[in-house]
Amino acid sequence: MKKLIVRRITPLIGIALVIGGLLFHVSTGTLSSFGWEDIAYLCPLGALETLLATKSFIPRVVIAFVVVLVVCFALGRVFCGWVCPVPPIARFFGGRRRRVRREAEEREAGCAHQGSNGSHALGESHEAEAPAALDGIAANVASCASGGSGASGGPGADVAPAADAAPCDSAAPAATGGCGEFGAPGASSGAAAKRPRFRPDSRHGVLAAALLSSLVFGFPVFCLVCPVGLTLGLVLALWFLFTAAEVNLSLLVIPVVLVVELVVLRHWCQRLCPLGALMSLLSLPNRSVRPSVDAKKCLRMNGSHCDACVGVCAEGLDPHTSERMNDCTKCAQCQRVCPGGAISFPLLAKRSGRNERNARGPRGVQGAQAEQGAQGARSAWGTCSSRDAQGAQGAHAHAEENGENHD
Amino acid sequence: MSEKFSGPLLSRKGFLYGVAGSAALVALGGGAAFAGSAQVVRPPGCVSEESLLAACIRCDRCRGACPHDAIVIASPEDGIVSMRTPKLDFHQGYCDFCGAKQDEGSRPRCVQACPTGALAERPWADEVIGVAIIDPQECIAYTNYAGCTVCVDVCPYEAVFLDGDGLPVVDANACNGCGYCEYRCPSHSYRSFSGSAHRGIYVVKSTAEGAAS
Repeated sequence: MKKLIVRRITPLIGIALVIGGLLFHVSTGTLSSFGWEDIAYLCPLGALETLLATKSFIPRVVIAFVVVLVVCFALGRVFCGWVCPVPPIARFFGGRRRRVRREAEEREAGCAHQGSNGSHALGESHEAEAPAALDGIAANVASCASGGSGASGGPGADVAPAADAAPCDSAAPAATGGCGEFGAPGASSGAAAKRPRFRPDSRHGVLAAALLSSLVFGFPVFCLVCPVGLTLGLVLALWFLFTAAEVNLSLLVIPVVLVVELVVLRHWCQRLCPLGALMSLLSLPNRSVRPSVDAKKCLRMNGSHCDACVGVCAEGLDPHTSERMNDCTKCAQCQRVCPGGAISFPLLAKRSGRNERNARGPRGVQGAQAEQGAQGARSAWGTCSSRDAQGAQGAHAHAEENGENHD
Repeated sequence: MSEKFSGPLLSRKGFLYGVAGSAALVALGGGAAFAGSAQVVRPPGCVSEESLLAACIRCDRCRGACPHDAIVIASPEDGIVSMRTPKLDFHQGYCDFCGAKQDEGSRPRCVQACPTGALAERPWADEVIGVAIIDPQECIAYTNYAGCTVCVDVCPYEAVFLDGDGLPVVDANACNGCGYCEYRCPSHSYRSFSGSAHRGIYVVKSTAEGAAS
């Protein structure tokens, strides 16, 4: 709860920096670079773009980049979860639209009580890529079916868990057709297979384009449309509008670009943001402040079909595994929604790898058993903590508002 | 392990997003570079327009650092590629190089604040940021109120003098574009009805001197 309040306030740091600088006439800067006199933080993407565009070695830029590297090593992508002003803006617009659509769907389905589920929350993206994902592990069947997305039978009714067709799993790494395009290892051999810690995705493509275009055209191209920079640029433009009656095209251009990026193209952070991609790359060696699941308290590890933590994660991570954990923004939403209170963010994990083995236990080995017990367990759990559970169940980015509203 | 969200990942749609995003970025870079930039006066330490654009990440620190409010943020009107980069506007302030021209040890605050070297260390004694030119249409001395000598009186570098007819003339070799003459020029106070964007004397980029006058 405390974390949530803090996380609501910290994205205002950037705006506070700008306004404070204007009020007190100091050059504290923006999130692109802030600091005092010679000592400054520098946007790592801006730093790389500058080095490529100028094709020269700028000691100050390299030092600033190393500082970011150290921060990412220690804290991971904490910038994205706590400091960047873009996710709250995107959530504000995206969340509202999704809420409206979800409500409509619920009316249609006539089951307003069910909450929403993963494939609905992400809308067409999942439905489009969907058909028959053959994950090695049957997961989420219960939640999919009860969410009304049309899994064939009842949960665990007639299909062997290992070959279950689960629409919610459409994006599972082993099953999605597109994974070959990126040359990522399929890792389909089952629960114990070693998963790659990093897989390139569309953001990394945009990152590569940002760096390449800077090199070719000789200026930091992405800085022109960076929503972080533009958001703070808009604050500045509005300030000068009201203090100096300064009217120029920025007041039109900046909002239009921001709306296109954050509202029209949804999932900016997850699909396009090259800064997030860079931060996730720099966070690859990060091992500290990662979500850690207490096997005794976790409902899933004890046979239930709880996916609250997975559902709420804006990055689509599962705290039970270390897969793609470099993408974790340490937002601690999983900790907040966990009905069992099983998730914590220790400074250093006690023993790495332990979580993973345990997580796969009930689903992989005792999968069938878990399936059968699922319905009962889920409904029992559903009644005792129904509010949070339904808010979080399977719903993704928007589950955050959903859950937070309940507080 | 199931992975329900995963938005960007490895899906066909994700791949298309990546390709489209990358293509858009490259197109933006090419388009902006092709469209070019208007000639704006840059803060001291700008070696060349290209070098400034290459290194500037539009972080706004130089604007905040300027003690005289001479630095403003370029708007889209100054060219898409220049948008949100720093430029000098001598209506609100002027540049005294923060004393760097007189004192070897100091350097302009904007240069000190710039984190990427877009505004770089220079031999400040010879630094030129632009050159003042006089618009006979706007200048009070050149029009009906002859006798105004404000720019001549205020120029810290004695780069504006009166010619034989008592009209101000700029010595382009002595002028470094500090903008103090433009800052003090009263043409808009007395005759702003003309609606002109610039004052009787104003600073332009040195390279654009011929074209602008």
